[in-house]
Amino acid sequence: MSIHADPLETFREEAKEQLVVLEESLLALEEDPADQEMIAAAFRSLHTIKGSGGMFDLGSLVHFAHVVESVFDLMRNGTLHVESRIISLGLQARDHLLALLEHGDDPELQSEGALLEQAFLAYLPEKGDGAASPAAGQSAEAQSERTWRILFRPKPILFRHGANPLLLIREMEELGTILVLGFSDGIPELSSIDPTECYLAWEVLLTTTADEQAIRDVFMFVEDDADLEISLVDEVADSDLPYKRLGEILLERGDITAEALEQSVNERAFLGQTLVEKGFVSSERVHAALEEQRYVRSMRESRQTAESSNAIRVGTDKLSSLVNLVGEFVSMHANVVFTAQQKDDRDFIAVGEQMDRLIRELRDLSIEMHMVPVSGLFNGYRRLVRDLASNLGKEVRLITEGSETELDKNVIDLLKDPLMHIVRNSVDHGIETPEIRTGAGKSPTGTLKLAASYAGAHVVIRVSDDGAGMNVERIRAKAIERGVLSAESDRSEEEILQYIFAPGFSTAEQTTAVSGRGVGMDVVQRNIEQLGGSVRIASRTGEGSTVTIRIPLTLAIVEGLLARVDRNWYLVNLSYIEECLDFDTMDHENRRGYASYRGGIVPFVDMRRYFRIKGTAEKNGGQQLIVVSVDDKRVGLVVDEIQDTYQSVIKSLGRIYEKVEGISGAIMLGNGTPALVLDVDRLVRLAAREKGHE
Amino acid sequence: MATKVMIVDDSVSMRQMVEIILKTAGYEVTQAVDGREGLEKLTDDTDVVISDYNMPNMNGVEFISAVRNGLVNRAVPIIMLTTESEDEKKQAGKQAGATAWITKPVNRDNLVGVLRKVTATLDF
Repeated sequence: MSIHADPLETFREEAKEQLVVLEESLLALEEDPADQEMIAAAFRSLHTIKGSGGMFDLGSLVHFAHVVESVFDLMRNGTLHVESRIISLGLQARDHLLALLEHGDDPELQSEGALLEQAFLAYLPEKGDGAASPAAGQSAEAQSERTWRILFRPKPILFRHGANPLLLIREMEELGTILVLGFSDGIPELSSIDPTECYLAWEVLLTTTADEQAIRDVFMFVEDDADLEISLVDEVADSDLPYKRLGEILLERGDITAEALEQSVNERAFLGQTLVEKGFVSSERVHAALEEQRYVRSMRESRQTAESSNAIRVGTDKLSSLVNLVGEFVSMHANVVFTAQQKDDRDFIAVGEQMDRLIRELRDLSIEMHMVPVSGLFNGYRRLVRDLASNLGKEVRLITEGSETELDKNVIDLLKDPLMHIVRNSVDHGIETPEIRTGAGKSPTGTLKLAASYAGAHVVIRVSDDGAGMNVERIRAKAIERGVLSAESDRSEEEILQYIFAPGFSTAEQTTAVSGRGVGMDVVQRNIEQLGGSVRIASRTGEGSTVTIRIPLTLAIVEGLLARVDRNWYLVNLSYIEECLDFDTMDHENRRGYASYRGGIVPFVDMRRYFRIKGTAEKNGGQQLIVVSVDDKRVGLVVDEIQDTYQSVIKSLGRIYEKVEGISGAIMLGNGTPALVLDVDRLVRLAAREKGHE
Repeated sequence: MATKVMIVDDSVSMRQMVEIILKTAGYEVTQAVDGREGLEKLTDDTDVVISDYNMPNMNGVEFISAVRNGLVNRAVPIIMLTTESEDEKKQAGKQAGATAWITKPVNRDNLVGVLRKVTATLDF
């Protein structure tokens, strides 16, 4: 152990001995500046100090010794002449090194050393920028994964120099993923094998983020003892690149000539087989090329898997079941809360409230998972529009807006057909032929715009065209003819336009193969209303039409305000509600149905009257006005009492109640009683229409 | 079994430091003060040799070619210690058959790193 007592002390002693040698050499040089032996001796002592010092973290000593040594190196190889100034500097350097050894690195010594260093540096040639820049260049490159082909053909002498190819391959393994292919075709007959020679060759496919230099560094000690070819075969990230074919790979690797490939490629048999049969290449090489092909493919695939690994694919059916289950869970929870309230169990109620928060999160999350952007839906119509337009001899440009807007996947699936009808109609009946358009002073190319945007818990999809627009008079005539509108009716143009959604309404003078005859807008409206949505059309003659579809973000669960009228419960979708006011304290005019509201008036619908419920509200009052709005139209709904917000799965009322205006579904309350979901959209329109009459 | 390393260097402190570093890293170390002693101490058990260039009596290059042309463990990996200003020595060492080289100053990282490059150490 004594030998390890203090290596640093040993070093100091040794270095001091070297400094004595240095001093002696310098003094001898002063006598005879041409004494090569002495220059070498001085150099050697500096070199030894530097070399050993590096092991003891004596940074400044090593650095200083290095600078001085470099100057002596120049003298040693004759570039620099020995002169007395250098010798005196050398002696100062010797003293400085001794001080560094004895006192360590104190600040005073540092400044002294810096001065001396400058004096020595003056003798050294300027270092160009070239030294620093390649390193910088290297780090800027090489971020993404690439696949390299490394052909390593050692010279027979490799083993004799103590190198071990296996270690090199292992070292490459540390850089990334590798595939090693060995070539044994260089092995001679057993009788003539020299065991000290290397006959093998390797091909390594390495997928790594390291750059070429890093790969070369693996081979730095064997460069002279082997043929090394490093080539880039694949940018793993760029999966758009086509996969290379076998012939291409063999050619690239230099295994075959272009002529050989040419001669073999036209034969019907497998290329590899043909090449081997014709003796152009050994089967081992073909095998290697095939392996390379397979490897590149698998690397790309695993890369793609890795990229998508932060996402899991789940079948939409499973997701839908999840959403449905969450919906049921929400309803069940309402039941739990109700029971807790019945029992007036405070702890139970508290738990129920905590659960409520969790369930909301769960609900939002499951709905979110079920959301997909409408871009897929929108883009699906591109082809349709293009084909339709060319069939009809029209020029139509489709533009989309807000295609990142997300909707429940089920809603999107159900929207596909209705929206297609609308798009078709626009191209077919809306947008004119280029001749007509030019005549009307429009650009010959019509524009069809699909736009989506959020509006509370709804998504609004607008299909607009800059075509001819609707002919309101013709629709009015048709409506009167079909007996759905009286001739004296003074409905607004906007209201009349909505008749195109009535059954069997097709106004185009010529029905075409594209839009057919009237199978359209009524079906469209029914489909959209089944989704809990609404559809409206606006149009200006000569300027175009816009169909606006408003649909709920999700079908699964609604959150609403529970309101009571007499003994019945109704749910008003929260997304429509602006505010709730105490109806009794408001100025209102019952006969005409207006209440003063925020300095103006708002029409209201007395739900008791609307649903023809007998009796009047309780004498003690407490009637509430729920102000709802749709498309900037405000209407108040008068109810007896407002309870709480409530979330639930909406159940369909079935076909029998399909036509009941003002109700869009039903929910089951916690205590098992049903509540009807108000069709706010319809109610608002109804109210607006009635008021329009007066 | 521990990998046997022989350090051939005329500097006592260098030999000691190399020994300490390598022993901690799990190697077995023998020392030789110059090429001549290195040749005497080289056996077929020696797994790797680390040799300085500048040495009295028999320098690094002479030592390496003596090993390569000798009869004992002629294919042993030999790591030569050089400095960055000694490119011609590096070349001479390579010509003589050095397996690898370490550019001074020597420290734990480059020493063990290069050793791992040329020998099958405990890692495998």
